[in-house]
Amino acid sequence: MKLLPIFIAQDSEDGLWSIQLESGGLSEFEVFFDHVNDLEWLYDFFDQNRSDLQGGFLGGLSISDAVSRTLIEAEEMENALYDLSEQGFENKDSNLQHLFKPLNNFEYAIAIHQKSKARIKKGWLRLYAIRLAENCYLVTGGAIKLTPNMKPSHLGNELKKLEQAKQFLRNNGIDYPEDLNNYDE
Amino acid sequence: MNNLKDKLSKLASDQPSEWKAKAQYRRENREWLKKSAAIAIRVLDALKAQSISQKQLAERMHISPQQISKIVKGQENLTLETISNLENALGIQIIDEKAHQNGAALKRGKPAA
Repeated sequence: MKLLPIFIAQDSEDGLWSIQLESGGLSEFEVFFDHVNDLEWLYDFFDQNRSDLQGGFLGGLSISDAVSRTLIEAEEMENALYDLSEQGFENKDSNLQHLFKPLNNFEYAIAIHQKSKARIKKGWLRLYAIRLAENCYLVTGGAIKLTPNMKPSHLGNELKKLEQAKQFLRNNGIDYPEDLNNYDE
Repeated sequence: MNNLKDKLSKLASDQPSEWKAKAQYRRENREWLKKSAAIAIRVLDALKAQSISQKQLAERMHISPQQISKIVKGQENLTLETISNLENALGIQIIDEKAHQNGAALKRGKPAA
């Protein structure tokens, strides 16, 4: 595992980083945005997760409606991050900590190293990250969350990557307190 | 350089992220990419409904499977000829008939309805 700076401040620790699982491969941040902008990938994903898509939680959606909805959400999420990368970290009212919310919806305080996710309103896209400092996040992956829990295998895989990244940080002298949250939201 | 950034930088890959360039491309080309996406969904729906593989579609259209792959990923700036060939190969309508009517109205010098 390696780390990749996605956009970082020159003169402070503020910044967005991502893990890179394989040498020479893409960062998990980039993999996520490649996937959610790839119609074929989205179509296959919703086809494979049809029962979750058409189950009670979402009230039943066609695959093509789900793909269209995801594209709109992905655009909104990517634009927000792009704008942030352009404006820098000077604006305290608009920075990474306003995009990333605590993972547990009932947790209001944001602690250092808290696991977090980016979330657009009531959307289903999730960008999972570890909070390293007030305005510094390490993205470990992203997913389309169709269920109220983290049981589907693709979400379980995201939890594994979060744990792998935590271990990687610890092994390399970047330690942090035990997490106060779980991922059952 | 502060301590955290210093530590993170020591663990960083020497390969730069290409996300920003990709995001910028998607922003600058959003309008036609949305149209390409709408066509990709129509094609994928048709392939599934008719149980046709992408390879079979490529053969029907006399183009490479790589070109079909680009089309169904919604990242191809399609020509009208390719759209027409897709319609014929799959027996579907991609461009709405109303567009033809509007085109005809314009030809006659009348405003489109």
